[in-house]
Amino acid sequence: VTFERPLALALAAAVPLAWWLSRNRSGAPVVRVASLLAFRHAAAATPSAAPRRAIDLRLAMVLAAMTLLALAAAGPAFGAAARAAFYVVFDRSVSTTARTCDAATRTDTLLRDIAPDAERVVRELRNADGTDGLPESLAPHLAAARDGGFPGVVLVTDSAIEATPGIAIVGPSAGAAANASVASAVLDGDDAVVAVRNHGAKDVTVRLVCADVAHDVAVPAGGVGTARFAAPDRGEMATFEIVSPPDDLTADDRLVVRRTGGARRVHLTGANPRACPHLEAALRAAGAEIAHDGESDADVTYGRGIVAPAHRPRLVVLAPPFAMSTGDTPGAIRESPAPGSETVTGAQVVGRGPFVDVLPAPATLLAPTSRLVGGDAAWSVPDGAIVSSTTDLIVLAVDPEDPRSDWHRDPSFPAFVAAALDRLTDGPDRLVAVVAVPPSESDVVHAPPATSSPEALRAVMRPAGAREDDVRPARWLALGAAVLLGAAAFVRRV
Amino acid sequence: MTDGGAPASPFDDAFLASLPRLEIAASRVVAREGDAGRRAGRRGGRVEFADHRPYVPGDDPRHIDWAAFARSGRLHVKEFEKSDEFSILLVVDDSASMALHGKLVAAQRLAYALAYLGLAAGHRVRAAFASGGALRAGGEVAGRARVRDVGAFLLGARGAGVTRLTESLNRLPEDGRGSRVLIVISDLWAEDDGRAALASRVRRGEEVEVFHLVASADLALPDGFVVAEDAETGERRVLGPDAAAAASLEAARREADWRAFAARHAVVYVPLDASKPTEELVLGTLHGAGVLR
Repeated sequence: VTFERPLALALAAAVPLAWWLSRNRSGAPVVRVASLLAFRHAAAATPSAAPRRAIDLRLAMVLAAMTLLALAAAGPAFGAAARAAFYVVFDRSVSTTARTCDAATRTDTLLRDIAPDAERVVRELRNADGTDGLPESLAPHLAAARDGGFPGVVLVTDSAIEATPGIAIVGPSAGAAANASVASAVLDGDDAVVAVRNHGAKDVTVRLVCADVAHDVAVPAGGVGTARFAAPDRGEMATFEIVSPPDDLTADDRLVVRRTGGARRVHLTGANPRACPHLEAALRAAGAEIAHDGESDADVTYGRGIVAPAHRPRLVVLAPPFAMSTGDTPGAIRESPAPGSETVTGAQVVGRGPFVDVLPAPATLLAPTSRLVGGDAAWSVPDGAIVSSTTDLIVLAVDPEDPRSDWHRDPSFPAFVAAALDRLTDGPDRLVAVVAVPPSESDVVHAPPATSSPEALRAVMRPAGAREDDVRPARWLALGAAVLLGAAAFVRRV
Repeated sequence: MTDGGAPASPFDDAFLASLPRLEIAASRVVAREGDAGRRAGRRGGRVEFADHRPYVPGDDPRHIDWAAFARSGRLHVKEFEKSDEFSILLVVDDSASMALHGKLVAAQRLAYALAYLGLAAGHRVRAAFASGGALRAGGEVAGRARVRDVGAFLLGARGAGVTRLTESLNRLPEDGRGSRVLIVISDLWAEDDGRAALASRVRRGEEVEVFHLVASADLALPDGFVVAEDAETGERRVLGPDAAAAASLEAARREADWRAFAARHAVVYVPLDASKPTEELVLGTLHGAGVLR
């Protein structure tokens, strides 16, 4: 238990004093007499000879009330006695691993000098992508610190952020001087074009290595240099690494990529494959290889009587007459009972999600075969969805083979088919970074943030003493005292 | 009397009307003058006319003013101021102990009644308060109409201070015009109860009368142990259950001492029950004791 006003406990001294005075009175009433001469020959009696009340309930209540009032005035707080403490938020983003970043060490020294016995509530700040996310990412820490009774936080970071009331900054003693990073790798045919960015103020030539292939890349100050390597096979990974010269941040000297996407072998099924020449043409235009047997990356179904589930990702193009369902589970795609055989123009189609960029031209005529419910509506016309999708299923309720439709002449048709295949087969052929440092984190060559003064650091320290979440029964103690005093007024003196 | 404001008689009309029939029996003063017959003839013979008042049964028929009766058809008696009257000095103890249990009020009323009697009998009267060794004396007055002045003075009783009667009585003003009757009204609860001074006054030829106001409440205590606080000195003492009985014995002993002192020094000593009405004290106790006749 701690007290906000411990000096008020001195009031409790009145309790034994009151008890002593009461005891000295021996409980005998004081009677004013004309003269003690009348009693000069009365037997002497001492206070201790007088019989005392066994229990003076009223006195006990008054003394208890006095004790409670003294305690209430002292402002007791129950809970662990809190030492002085700092709420320290460490920026754990990639950039703080720079060789020159000594912010953590400086923090330890500074805080120890200010308050050697102060505790430290340590929290870390790092986004999933390795960035610090400042200043937005600090908000929850500020709220938590405030809830914990801290006037503010100590932010340990190398980011160029300024101290504000409630935020004291400790940064590294110096900024990084040089840093080159493997910024990106993109696929160009079967080559990987690797970009190296120089964040420093001096031109640099780096040796970039992938497996046993090495290139020397000249990178101007603040600029980008590139090197071309053989791309890994589909599904394979490759590592591009700067091996020299050393710089201040090594984490971004290495980029690991995986080649992914680009699957285009499809199995076209339907009542009569020859009945969908426009669809076949669009598939080929989208780069798909149509296989009638053997392995395939996705199924494309044209026709009717299609029933889920499928074993592979599938694009279903509904053609009349039709009867389609993917089941009764929530989210399953079903045809709407509403008829929908009228043609619509491209202007009537509203798209969203991954297919919003491949909408038909406004004047293009489309021949919807149905309206869809369930799944995620990707294309809609005023009376319902005509394209809907789930994780591995895309249903197109538009017949590209309908003679009323001229969609097959619109480039949006093969583009839609390509987008659908990308969706179903992990996208286009590309290199995806597996291990990489965000560009913002590689930008470490700058002046460090100004470290706050000791006074500013002390200002965000929670002083020793009671904490906000401690139990403070002062009001209840005062109320109890009032009740006792009130009750004492009704208790007959024994 | 203690309410302040204009002094007024604290007695009812019948009581006041009966008072003139009584006179303070100052035998010692008269004896010192050495002429009982002269004193007897003093009423109406050696006096000067002072006033008329309605006749009441008991008045001396010789004082009826028949000429006035012939004019008005109503009986009036003449009142006279004596030319050789003695003075009466009423000393009221107004110490703190007197303020307890109605003694001071009883003393004020008694003094007022005695002043009325003295003034009606043609004597000079002066009242005084004694407490703390001091004496606060009022002016000496004569004539029955001045009784209100005495009453006004008696209203100034304070009921505070300790009783030191010897010191107070030693401050008595000397009376240069004749003999004096000194009446002391007190509860006599003091180590210094003024006996030495009173004896001295007797030796000087003054008539000394002590009216001892006794309040049984002075001796009463609650059951069990009490802390008794002296009203005058503030001294405290723890008293046991037997203290009240001891106090009664002490009171009786002190009264016996006073009686012995009074007999030895020709002092008139009359204990008076302070709880009784003044009318009963005057018409009963004092009259019965021969102090008034």
